[in-house]
Amino acid sequence: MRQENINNKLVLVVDDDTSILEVIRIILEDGGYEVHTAKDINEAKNKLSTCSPNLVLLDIWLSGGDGGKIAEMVRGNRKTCSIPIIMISAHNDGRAIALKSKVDGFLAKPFDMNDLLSVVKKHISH
Amino acid sequence: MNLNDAKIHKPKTFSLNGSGHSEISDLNVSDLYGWRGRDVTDNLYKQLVEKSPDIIFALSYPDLKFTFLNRAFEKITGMKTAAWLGKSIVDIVYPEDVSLAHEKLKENLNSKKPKNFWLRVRSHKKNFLVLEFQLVPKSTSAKTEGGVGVARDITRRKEWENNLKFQRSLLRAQSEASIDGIFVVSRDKEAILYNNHFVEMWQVNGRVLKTHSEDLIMKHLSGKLKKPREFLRTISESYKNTSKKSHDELELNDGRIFSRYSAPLAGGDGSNYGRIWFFRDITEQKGDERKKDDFVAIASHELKTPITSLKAFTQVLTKRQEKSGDKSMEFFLGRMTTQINNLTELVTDLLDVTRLRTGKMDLNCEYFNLGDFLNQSVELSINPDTKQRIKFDVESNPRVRADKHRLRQVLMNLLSNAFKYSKANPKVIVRVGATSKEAVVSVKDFGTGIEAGKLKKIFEPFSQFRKVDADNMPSLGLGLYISSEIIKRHNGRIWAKSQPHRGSTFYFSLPKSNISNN
Repeated sequence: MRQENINNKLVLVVDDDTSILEVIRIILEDGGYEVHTAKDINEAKNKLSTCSPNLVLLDIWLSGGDGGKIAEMVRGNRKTCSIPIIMISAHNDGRAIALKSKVDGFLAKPFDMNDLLSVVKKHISH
Repeated sequence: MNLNDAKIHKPKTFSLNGSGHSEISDLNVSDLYGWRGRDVTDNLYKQLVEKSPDIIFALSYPDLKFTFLNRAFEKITGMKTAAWLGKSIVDIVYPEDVSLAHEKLKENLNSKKPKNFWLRVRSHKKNFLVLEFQLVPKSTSAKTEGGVGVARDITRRKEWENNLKFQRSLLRAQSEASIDGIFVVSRDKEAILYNNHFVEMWQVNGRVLKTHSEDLIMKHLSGKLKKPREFLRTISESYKNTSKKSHDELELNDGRIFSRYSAPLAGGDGSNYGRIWFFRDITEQKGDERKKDDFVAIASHELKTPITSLKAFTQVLTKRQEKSGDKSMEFFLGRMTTQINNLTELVTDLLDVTRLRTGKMDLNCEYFNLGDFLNQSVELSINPDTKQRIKFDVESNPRVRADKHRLRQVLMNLLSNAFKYSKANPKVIVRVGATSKEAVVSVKDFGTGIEAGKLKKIFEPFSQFRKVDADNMPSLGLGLYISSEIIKRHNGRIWAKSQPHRGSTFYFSLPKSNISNN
């Protein structure tokens, strides 16, 4: 099922729900992306320093700290500041928080897989 | 007859002879009325006394017998005047007031400064009458020989007074029994009534209360609030509009929440007598509501997480089935997708209602052309099969300022309802037009329509609540309520027209704007 990874584009997905991490990984890998996942803020820090993602897909509410902090961390680091960030959230305030955090995009849970692919495609190509 | 027109004559004293009632040779009525020295006639005095609407009488002392009674006595009491001349005034007094009558009569006839008093007296017309007496002694060489007086029928007045006392005591009992703090202000901004609960709940300073000044008391209350200026501003506004009722909530510095209700005190003829304020401590109730809302918000959020996985996995599975060419699972996957979408809609609606109820629905407004945006929304959000059913008619393309995400939600809700209730006739017309001030959108279907009784309540929450049936998920009937609230928050209007079996048209309007994003 997996498409050939012709773009060599890497997406870091940060979410504390394992099931969601799994399904996003499947959808994105089927879409031809390389996917790394992180379940909390510490894992996210490690991955950011080691894998140089082309885009970060970030859940706003994480059990080990909120996604907003990770967004700040990405934006505050010279090496990572230009990485596009897409926030995802099941919370209704998610859209407003994403706007305030000045991230590049927002996707409300539950999302449509085509919307996920199109928002990643839109921002990762920049 | 005007006194000034009277012929000139100078009697200092006169006798009430010829009246047909009595003969009192030495009654000095001119002294009684204080007209000493005025140019009036005997006849005039007699007329004044006889035509007086009040009883004028003379008494001997100490036996307190009537020596004179004017015609008003008979008119008022219904008793014969002649029968009472020579009888004691005490005999006409209502039995329960006899001892009081003795006391008051003697007191006044022996005093240089008589005081008015009232007694119940017997009457042929009623059970008793209430008469107010003015009685002055008639003395010679410091010895009381009798008295002259006037008795006015105040029965009606006393009835009104008693009625008023009853109403007051009823009002007082009601206000004290009320769970509300009550504060009543006169038209002249004077505090005329407040109950103990008002004093206790606001912990009002006694010295401030004693001023009876609405201004000082309200300022005192405002000092206990988180938004004192707003409190005083709304009070000021309510006094400007004397017919306006108001209802809002107040947050106190100590964390309590009061609801405030105010209404004008209006007379039957529309005259204004002031304003009444009710305050109720709703802290506990609000706490319960917040807990309930928090629970719904958290529960909805937690439900969305597994729905996200479920939906995404189902889509992955569907896509893989399609690619493999295996159609055996298509029916089941289709049903799963429909039900997941229904479930998503239900949870999203619950969250939206919570946000509306807690005032947390913020709008991210921007300027755009409504026709273009709605057309694009239909293109992007609706699957091709369903899209074929829609005729999109852009009569004009008005510019508006709105939250695109929320506006799309309203359109999708109206379209979803149109499709749901018009399965037999699939056509749906979306029209975007404008008046001079408003952009108007309509969604018309040719389906089952809505009965007039239900149409009135269509925008109320839970108005379409129904149980689970074979084809549908349970519906809470929240979609139209959420849509109407979203439109209201844009200062717009939403309404519907419908005829059973002929279809429905839902409209919403938004204020037009001439401003661009730049």
